[in-house]
Amino acid sequence: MHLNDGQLRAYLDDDLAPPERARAAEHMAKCQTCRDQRETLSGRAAAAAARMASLDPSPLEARLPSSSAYQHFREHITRKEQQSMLQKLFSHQYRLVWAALGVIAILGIALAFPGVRAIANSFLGLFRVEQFTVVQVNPGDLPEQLGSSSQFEQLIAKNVQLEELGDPAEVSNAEEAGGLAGIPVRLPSALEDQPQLMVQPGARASFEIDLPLVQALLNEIGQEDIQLPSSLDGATVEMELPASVTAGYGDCRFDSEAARESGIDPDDPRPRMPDCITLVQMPSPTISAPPGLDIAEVGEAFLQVMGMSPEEAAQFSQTVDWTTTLVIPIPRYGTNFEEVSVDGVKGTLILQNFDNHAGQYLLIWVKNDILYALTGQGDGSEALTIANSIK
Amino acid sequence: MTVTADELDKNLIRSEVDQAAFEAIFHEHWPKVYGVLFRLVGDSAEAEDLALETFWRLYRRAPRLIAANSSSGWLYRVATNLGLNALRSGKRRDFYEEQAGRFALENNAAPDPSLAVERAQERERVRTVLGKMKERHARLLVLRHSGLSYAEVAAALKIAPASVGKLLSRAEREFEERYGKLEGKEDAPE
Repeated sequence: MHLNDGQLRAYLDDDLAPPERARAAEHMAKCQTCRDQRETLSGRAAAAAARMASLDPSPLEARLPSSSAYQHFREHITRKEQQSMLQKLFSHQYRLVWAALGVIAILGIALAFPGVRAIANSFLGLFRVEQFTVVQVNPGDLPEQLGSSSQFEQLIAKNVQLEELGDPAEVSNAEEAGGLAGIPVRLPSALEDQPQLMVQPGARASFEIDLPLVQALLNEIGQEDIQLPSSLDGATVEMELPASVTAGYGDCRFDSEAARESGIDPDDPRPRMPDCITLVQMPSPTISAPPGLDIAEVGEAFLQVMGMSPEEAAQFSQTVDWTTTLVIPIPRYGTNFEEVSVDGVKGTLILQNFDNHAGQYLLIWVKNDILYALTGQGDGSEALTIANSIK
Repeated sequence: MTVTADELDKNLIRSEVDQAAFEAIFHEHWPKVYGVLFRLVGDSAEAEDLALETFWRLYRRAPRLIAANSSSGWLYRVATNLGLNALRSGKRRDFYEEQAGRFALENNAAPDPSLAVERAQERERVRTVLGKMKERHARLLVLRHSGLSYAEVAAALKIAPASVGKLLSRAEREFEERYGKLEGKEDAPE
């Protein structure tokens, strides 16, 4: 029986085990067919090798020594961690709202049940956003998957149901958008372009807390000392996210379906849509949680998971009304925020501060039970001018 | 205990990275990972970025692989993924002249400009062929020519070491055919 191409090719590379190699040599000595085929393969291999050799780096293109490369790598890590957090924060659509709500609802509710504790008076029957507040955290302390996984809820819950109430629709004017979304749509007069208007349908989500999964997650992030009552297992949390309207000005690409499906790479360092200004408006999402929840406790645990010390978390927690405030974590480095007066109410302006190029802004406020989020590239004064021209 | 890459891909939760083990892996594999990516993208800065990205992914996503010291197959798989994506992304369709110019610039020792042009053209052709080949074949050729052993290549491609010879002979045949076709096209009159 003749040698096959695989054997011959490995023979040429001297990659056959010694006994097999000896047998192959013995066979070829008396088999012209195999010798011929060996020559064919050998010629082809040499030709490919010569072509491939053109790709070899020349001395000037040669690699960095691995020690300098390792230095670059350390810098790369720091940059990446900041970027991934910033991008989550500044991403368009209401991914922001989803992520923050998701983290509060799922993580907070699941984590914070005090072990043996009399049920307090302030229960979370319904959570509704009336205001925002910002808290600075160290992204390095944040378990990566908490923020970036689109399947985050799968890590701690079962029977996750997500129902989208309709399809995203592109509409041609504000009236039509308002009619579909059920809110009065307001647009900035400071921007003269015709906006691209998208109505994102509402959605309902519910899930059952899976205690063993939660415990595993806590162990992974080094919070294993938080004890959870067994009655929490199977508790159902429901979220309702109303329809929203997004107005895009400039070079905006609203392919949110595709983006969601491909799960936009949160690590992609390139800024998305730098020439796009978006204004998102939506009624407050609501979350119904099982009764028996000390909401301040929930909030503190949430903050600890986001990288705060227990003391810091307790202190911050006292300043916040957790039943009405959506707390948005932002990285301590690379980001500034300030309270501003906008649209006749109090709002929060978050700015990326890069040394070398213009960052993005995110301006958020709540007025008449509607949440507004304005994002774009530039400094805060542009954001305020646009926001204050909304009619 | 061995952990398969699939299990690790599913393991989304980050656990603590063994820093010393990771650093050892980094120093051991950096030259070859860079070499693989340079061959695919042909630009040192881009190759370095992609190599850093490769190690970053290992660092962030596969801490158990680091702990089990079985990361090399994973590393080269991710590196060839990133490199082939970059190669095919279209951003790389530079003209020969640009490439030649850059090549001459980066290698200002090159005595003969026409030689630089010729070499840049050859590189472009080889990359075009790699971009069109069956992905497994292209990966195999690049990894093999970056100095990986049969065993290392097998781990990266998730095949048995005994199948490397067979796959390599097929890859070289596909390379020869596609290269010939490309040359034929270039030589054909407009």
